[in-house]
Amino acid sequence: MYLQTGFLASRGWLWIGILISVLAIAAYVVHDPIGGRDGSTIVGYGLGGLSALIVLYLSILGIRKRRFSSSTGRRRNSVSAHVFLGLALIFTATLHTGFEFEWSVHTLGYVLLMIVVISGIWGVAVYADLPDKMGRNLSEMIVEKKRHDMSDLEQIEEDIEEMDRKLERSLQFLPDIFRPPVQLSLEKTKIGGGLFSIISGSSKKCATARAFREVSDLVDHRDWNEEERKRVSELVADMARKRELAACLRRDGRYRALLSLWLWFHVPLTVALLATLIIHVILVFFYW
Amino acid sequence: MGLSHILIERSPALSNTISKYQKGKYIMATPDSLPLRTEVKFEADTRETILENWTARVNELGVNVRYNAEVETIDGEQGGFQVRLAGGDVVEAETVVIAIGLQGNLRKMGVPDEDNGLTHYQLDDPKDYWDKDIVVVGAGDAAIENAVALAQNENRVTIVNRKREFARAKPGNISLIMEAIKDEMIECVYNASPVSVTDKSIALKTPDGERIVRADRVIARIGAIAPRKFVEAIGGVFEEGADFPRVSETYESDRAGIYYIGALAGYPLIKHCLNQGYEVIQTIAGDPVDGADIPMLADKFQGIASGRSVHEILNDIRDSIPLFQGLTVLQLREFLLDADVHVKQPGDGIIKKGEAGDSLFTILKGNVDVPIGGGAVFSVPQGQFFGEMGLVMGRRRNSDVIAGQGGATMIEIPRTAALKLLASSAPAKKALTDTVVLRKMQTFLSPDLNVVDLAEVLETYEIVDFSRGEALMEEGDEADAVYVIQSGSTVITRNVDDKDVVINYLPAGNMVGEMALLNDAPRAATVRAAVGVEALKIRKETFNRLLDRKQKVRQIVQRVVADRAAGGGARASGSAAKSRILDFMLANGIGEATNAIAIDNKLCVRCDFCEKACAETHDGIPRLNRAAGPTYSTRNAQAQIHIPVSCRHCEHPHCMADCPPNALYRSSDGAVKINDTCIGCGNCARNCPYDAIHLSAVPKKRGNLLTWMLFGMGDRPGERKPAQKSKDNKELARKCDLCEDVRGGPACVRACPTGAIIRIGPEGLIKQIQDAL
Repeated sequence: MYLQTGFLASRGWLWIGILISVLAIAAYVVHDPIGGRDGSTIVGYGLGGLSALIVLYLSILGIRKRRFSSSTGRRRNSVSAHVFLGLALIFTATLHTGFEFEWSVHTLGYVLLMIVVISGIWGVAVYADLPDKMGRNLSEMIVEKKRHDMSDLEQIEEDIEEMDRKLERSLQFLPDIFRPPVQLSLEKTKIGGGLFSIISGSSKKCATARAFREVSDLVDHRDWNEEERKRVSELVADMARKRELAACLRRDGRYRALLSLWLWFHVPLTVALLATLIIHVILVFFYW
Repeated sequence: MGLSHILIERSPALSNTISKYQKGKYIMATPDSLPLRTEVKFEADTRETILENWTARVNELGVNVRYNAEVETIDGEQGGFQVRLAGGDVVEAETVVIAIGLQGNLRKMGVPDEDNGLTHYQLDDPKDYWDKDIVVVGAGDAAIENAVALAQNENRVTIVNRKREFARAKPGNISLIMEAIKDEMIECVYNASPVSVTDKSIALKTPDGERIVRADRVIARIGAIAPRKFVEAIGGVFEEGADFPRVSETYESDRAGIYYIGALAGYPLIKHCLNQGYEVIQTIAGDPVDGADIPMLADKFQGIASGRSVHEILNDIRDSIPLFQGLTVLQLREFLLDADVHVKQPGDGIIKKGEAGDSLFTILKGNVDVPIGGGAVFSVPQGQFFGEMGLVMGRRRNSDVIAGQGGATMIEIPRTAALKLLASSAPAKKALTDTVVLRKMQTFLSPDLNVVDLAEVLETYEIVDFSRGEALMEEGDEADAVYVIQSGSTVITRNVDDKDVVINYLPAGNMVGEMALLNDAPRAATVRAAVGVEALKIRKETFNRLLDRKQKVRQIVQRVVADRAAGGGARASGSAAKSRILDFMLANGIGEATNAIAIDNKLCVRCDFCEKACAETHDGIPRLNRAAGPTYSTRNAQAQIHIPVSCRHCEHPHCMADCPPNALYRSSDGAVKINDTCIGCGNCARNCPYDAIHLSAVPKKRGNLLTWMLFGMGDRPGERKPAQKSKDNKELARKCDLCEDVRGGPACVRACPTGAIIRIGPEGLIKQIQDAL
């Protein structure tokens, strides 16, 4: 259930996008010039010009959305327009080519455009899917929020630190055989790292997970007195909690990375597309 | 003026009270609006600068001061007083002005061996102590300030509080001390009183028996009182229950020729004292001047003067407005200084429905009309007041008010002044609540009801306070009363399948509990306070007798009850999820908000554009913290709602409670804002329970959007390096202003790329949730 109307749920631009696509298809089908359908017919020029205008309009979103003080109107509406007009480009640009592809800068422009659109679709998918997961991932892990001015993430980071302090203290009371796993968890637990490990979000190699397994093994093989049993079961619980907290943070890192990863393709490729587009237009009009 | 005079000073130096302030204390020159008219310079500054100025000026003027002289008694009468000093000297005087203040008569603990040197009654410089055991006795502002300053200087401080809590101090100081106690910087002994002192310790009586606390020093800050014995001996009169002797409008006491000014006369503010001194001397010299406030009042009264003097108008105002009748003329003058006079022609609008206003209007002349729908008009006559709903309940104006036939002359009293009036005059408070009850009865039941019909209700209603979470009534209980919610808001829950399900939210201004009374049935639902609630309780018998007398009213109540029962039943079904969300929001204080941010976390992509847009439109300082704050989300949650840290523009803003320059105000569109008189004291930030106010200097902006985008130069939009504070760039309180000056409305809402964020009041938010689920 969404509480607010999101960028996908506002219908105005969806209909405009559909309208543009339908008109483009209709014009392509109806108009059958001598020499075949391609970019150099009236419909071809029309679709090309329209596509170019849309591309230009969509690419200034990057600037417009950062003009916080000088523009009125809700950014959500611009983003709606961006998404639905962007999708309409699939039709206008593809039909503009007349399905004539070759090894040239013209086809390169088309390919770039399609990659940009696809990366955009990827972005929409992530935006639609991840916020929900992200919110639940963190809030399910929070037992109690200590202060108003703390974020969920900060709370979990603090919980981990507290767990570390607890583990360190527990070393004084635990039998020595527990020292290596506890040390392992304290020293080798890593969150984040390189791009791939962030994006995988995997906790398979988590030092605390390993430490937890080692501790569990040790528990099974020994007889402890009352006091020690209590300490050991506490250690097992703490390790389990820390493992969960670390996994939660890794998942959060993964979501966070995925929410911006698509932009690493979408934005630079848009810049490349704009450059190609300019060359494409110049070539068409001056060297044709 | 060349008058023969002598200034008799008990101690070896002047300005004792201020000399005894904590070192470096910043002294305010309030009230700001009052001009200063003495020969001595005084403006807001540090204790040191002020003392320096005064000493220099006293020397320059050649004031005849006799130090180390204590007055024992005054004989004779006007024109021939004999002032007897300790040591036997006698000073002859025609007139005597007493300006001794209260600090010369500090309240003592009254325990054995108190004077053995361990106990001090003031703290000159907290830095005089380091690594010591210090016991501070008292729970007022001075005690708290001393205790905290000492603890900050690495002393082991114990504070002794006679009561269970710190209620007497300013809210800012209360939060200061509570924090210090929580952080174990200070130990507090509650419900304790000193029994005796020895060389190195103090014995306390506590609920757990007697306790000895080690002490290198005891600092008792338990207030100061008027030296009653002395004042009465020289002919002063204390009215019953009064803390200060009675004075006339010229500050003359009951014994002709003897004047009291300053704190002794009940005016603790320095500026008042200085002005009063000037005025009294002029009066004595036979050249009386009006008070410093009189020209300002004359200015205010311009439109209504028609040739009368300010004094005549003041008397007229006091006589014609019942609300002011408990005040002395001096009090009235002080009070009207903050007020505004409006003269309106017939039909002119005065307040608009839906406007956020919290001032109170009293009608001096003419009358006003309140349209109540259907062409009917409710008329408020001369002498009455209106606008009290905004003041008491913190709600927006609930109707238009226009000047009646023949026009209306009104006095508008701003919130703080009105609250001061209610606090200082019991008759005023009673008159106000009576009117609230009357008007509520007229609104809920029938506008035809008048004072006579409601006489019994007005005589017997009680004001009851409920703290957050406390129940006004429990489902299934026998009904004994109806309540009118004066301030705060309530949640109505019903038990469904052994679970409390929230069925409604009822803000101030509503009536609850009439249904069970009417049907003579047990309570159908539980009503709990969502925040602190003040309610007016009207007993069952009284209410029923009213209905018995007025059959028409009974029909109206029956209709309302029937409507509500139908609505409540529909909402109560199948809404456990909704109920949990409402619970969450009310637990997080949405109940007292007027306009809060809610983020739909299922749409939020954590880009923080809201924060950046806020910063970019407000000097580079964001006034919301998107990530911080509570979140509602569970494993199977249909909805995820996040309430970020940002101002909710509370109905009764906590931040306004204790602002020395009175810089916080509510705009007519409802935003709680800070004007540029802010001095950066931080009280508001400490008082805000939601951490929505921060102190900060203004950071410099480097570069712009294009330099950053193209060349990576300058700040990213909405992000700046932390500011360096300086003399011209002070750390001042910053908070959300609802972007009232920004085209297009709140920047945070506009900047959100996915539409996740909204700014909305509790009613709207709750409706949205009910519609969505």
